[in-house]
Amino acid sequence: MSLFNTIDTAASGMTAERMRMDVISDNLANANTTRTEDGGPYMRKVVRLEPRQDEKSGMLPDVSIDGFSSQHPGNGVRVVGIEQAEGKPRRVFRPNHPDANEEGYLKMPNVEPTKEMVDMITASRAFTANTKAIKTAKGMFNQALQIMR
Amino acid sequence: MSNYIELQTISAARDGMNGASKRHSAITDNMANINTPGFKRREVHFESQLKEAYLGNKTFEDQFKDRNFFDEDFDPFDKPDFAYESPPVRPTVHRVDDTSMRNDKNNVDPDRQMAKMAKNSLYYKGMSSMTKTQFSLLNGVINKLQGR
Repeated sequence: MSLFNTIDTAASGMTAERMRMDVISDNLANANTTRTEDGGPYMRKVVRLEPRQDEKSGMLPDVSIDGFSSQHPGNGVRVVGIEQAEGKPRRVFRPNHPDANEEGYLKMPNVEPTKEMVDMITASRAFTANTKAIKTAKGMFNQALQIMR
Repeated sequence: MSNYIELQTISAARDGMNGASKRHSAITDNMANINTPGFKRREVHFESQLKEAYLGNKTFEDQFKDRNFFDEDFDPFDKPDFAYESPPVRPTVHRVDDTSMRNDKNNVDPDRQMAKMAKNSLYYKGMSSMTKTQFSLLNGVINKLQGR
């Protein structure tokens, strides 16, 4: 288990956060989209994440007796997929809108811009933290290489 | 059969670096999974194993009590402590299961993890620097013996 693998781990974190940013921008851009191809309004999307364990490093299964785990830390995070979040569309009364139903109610996307902005900040900070992890690993490596200089 | 190249300081520093490297792996993995629901952070422990391997039950001072450097019949090559072959130090990885920081049961605290990373990096660099010093000391002695 070398420091090289930690760079892979941090890179997986960066990819995951970047994917989250993409999905957040998509949500924000479509915050008012009332008509999609499948009919109905745009529904908020989320990225599903899962911890990643490489076959090499995950030789022993995770055992949580006394909090003991396998002898290797994991290999970062894996994006399982982009899914629709739970929730139903918002209904607003807007009788003049072309997409409103007979009673005048319009189904709007369940995107809350404030929540998306907060998620965006989180994703950005996590991305920065992962780049810092790579920088630190590089610094440690360089320092070890200095031993025999 | 003692090993004069593998001084205790060098192998202690090597074991420290090994442990710190594993700890960096764990911290990086924790940070990568900072937004993964249900993820529990992992920690690496190696300091107590390090102490056990090099000091055993003795304190630091006790190490020097048996060796009387000023005795007339003192023979430094007779079972030198400094060339003792230490038992292997194996870092252990623990998963911290019993805490939760957020509603999604993730318990990674980014600030603490970053602080640990900074501390760990300094530790690693310190060990590596110490190894370099030990080797240059050895080099200096060898050069002197060779008349350089």
